Parts: sequence; structure tokens; C-alpha cells
Amino acid sequence: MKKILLTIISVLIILFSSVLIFHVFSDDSIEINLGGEKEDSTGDVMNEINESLLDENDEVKIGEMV
Amino acid sequence: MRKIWNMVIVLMLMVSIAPLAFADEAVDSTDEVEINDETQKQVEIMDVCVGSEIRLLQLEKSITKNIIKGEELVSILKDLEYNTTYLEAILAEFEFLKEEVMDADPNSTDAVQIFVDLKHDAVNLTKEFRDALKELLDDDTIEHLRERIREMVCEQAQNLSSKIQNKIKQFNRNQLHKLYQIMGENGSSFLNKYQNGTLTMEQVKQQIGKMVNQMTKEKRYEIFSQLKGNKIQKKIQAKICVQNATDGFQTRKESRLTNRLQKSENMPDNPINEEMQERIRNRLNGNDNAGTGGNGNKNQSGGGGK
Repeated sequence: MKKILLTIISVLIILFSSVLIFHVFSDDSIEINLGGEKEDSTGDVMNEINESLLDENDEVKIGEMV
Repeated sequence: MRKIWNMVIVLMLMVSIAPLAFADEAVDSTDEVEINDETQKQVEIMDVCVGSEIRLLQLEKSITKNIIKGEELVSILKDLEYNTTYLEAILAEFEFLKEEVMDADPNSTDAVQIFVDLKHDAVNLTKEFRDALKELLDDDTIEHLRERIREMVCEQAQNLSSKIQNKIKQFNRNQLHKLYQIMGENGSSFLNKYQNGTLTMEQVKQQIGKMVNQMTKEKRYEIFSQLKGNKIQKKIQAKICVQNATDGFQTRKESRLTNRLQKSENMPDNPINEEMQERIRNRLNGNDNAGTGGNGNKNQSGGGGK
């Protein structure tokens, strides 16, 4: 009897952990960023500058009529 | 033994409650609009007035282009003796939308919300027009029409383009001014030349690149960190604004539709106006497929169109 109960508990623990892990990995808002601290070259600075500027031909796309 | 049973019950409860807790977010979001990454990115510059002006002008330009192209398509179809009432009703609503974009205040604290709402409407109306054409015409004809209007030059849109380019120059100038301040340099002569059009953006960037190259590693890292920090701050701000824009989206949509319906009812009666009113009423009555009323019309026109 004890064995059965322990098995049930183990299964439930595994189930709960699975639900938790699935939620964490399927959530887009959780981003894991490994090592972005060493970017200090000129290229990286220029990339940041480029991202802060707008292309003069930039546009808001709403799709084509046909 | 009792303890073990208690544990089993607690674990079972936890397992059954967990999905409900995670699903809570999804239930709440049924009233919300899905905002894609592109819109999210576009909103990032709207923390300053000139950024909001740029986005609203760009939206106005895209709507103007689509109205002109839509009118051209309707004119071609009319020559081919198609019934174009439904398509014209969509264009009439597009005109209302354009007025709303032009009336939007870029200084408003709700500028992001307004932009998100009106862009959403513009995308939907464009899609409805495209879908209506698909029901009316075969693939070859659609391809032929696509080719015909691809190279269309829209004078109104071109006027808006130069206005937008000037605003973008102003925006970039402000950004570069902040950058020069971070670097502890005075770049006013370069910035003035850029705004006058004497220097291109690429040339200004080259000049900045040279300056960055001559800096010590520590200084470069300091600038990089500051730029990165500013970017993250902007992204967070944009995310908050977008989140605020999604709250009450449906209510605001109904209010916009009601306003358009009232405007349309105040106009002289004609088949296009009546069709537009029917489309709007359908959506207000919870039938999001605006084409339901119009579909009958389209089928009639499709059946005996040509």
C-alpha cells in the first residue's frame, strides 16, 4: 500500500514539475541572455548607434490592396 | 498513513490548480489586440513628440497610398462593369480613418494607443479590401491588377514622404546630439551639415566611427553601456505603453466605429454610404466579419458582376 502511495506521490511531483517547466520554457517574455557584457568593440558601439537612428526611407506597413 | 494521504491530496490540488493559474493570462487577454514585434518596435521612438509625428505621418502616407490604389482598382473594375459598391464602402471607411489619423495629436499622452488602434484598423481595412477582390476576381486578373498598380506614383504620398524625411532628419539629429554629449564631443558643425543635406547620414556615421576608434577601451565600453542602457529603457517604456494600449482595446474600437457610423449617417444617402453603415453595424453587433452584410452584395456583384 505504501509503495503505491509513494508511486502516486512521485508521479504527481513529476507532473507538477513538467507543468512548471513547460510554462517557463514556453513563455516568450522570459529571455535568457548569456554573456553580452564583453561587447565593447567599435563595431558594437556602432551597432548601438545604428539602432538608435531611423532610416530615412522607413515606413509603417499596412499591407497591399491587391 | 494519514499524512501520506494528505500529501497526495495537496499534490493533486497543486497539479490541478497550476494550469488554471497559467491560463489566467490567456483568459484575460481575449479582449486584447495582438500587437506584433514590428508595431512594438515602431512605438519605441514615440517617447518623443517628433517620433510620434513620424509614426502618424507614416501611417497617413500608407493609408493615402492604399486609398489611391484602391480608387484606381475600383475605376478599372467599373470599366469592366463589376459592381464595386462593397469595395467603395471600404474605401469610404478608409477616408474616415485617414481623417482620424490626421486629427491625432502627436503630443497626446495617448499617442501610442492612438497609433496602435488606427494602424490596426488600417491593416484590417486593407485586408478586407484584398479579400473582397479575391472573392470577386480570379487569380490571373488579380495578378494583372497587381502589376498595373505596382508602379503607380501617388503625388499626395510623395508630398508626405518629403515631410516624413525632414522629420526623420530632425529625429536623427536629436539622437546624434545626445550621442555627441555622451562622448563629450561637440558635433554641432556635423549635425548642422547633416540637417542641411550637405552631409549624408553615412558620412556622419563614418566621422563618429573614427572618433570611437580613437577612444580608449574603457571609454568605448562606457559609451556602449550608456547606449545599451538607453535602449533597454526605451524598450521597457514601449512595452508598458503597448500593454496600456491593449487594455480596453475593444471598447475603443466600438467607440471609433460608432463615431464613423454617426458621421456616415449625417452624410447624404447613397448606396456606398448605406453599404458602409451596414458593414459598421455588423461589426458593432459583434459580427467581426464585416463582410457578412457585404458578402451578399459581393456575391450578387460576383454573380452578375461582369
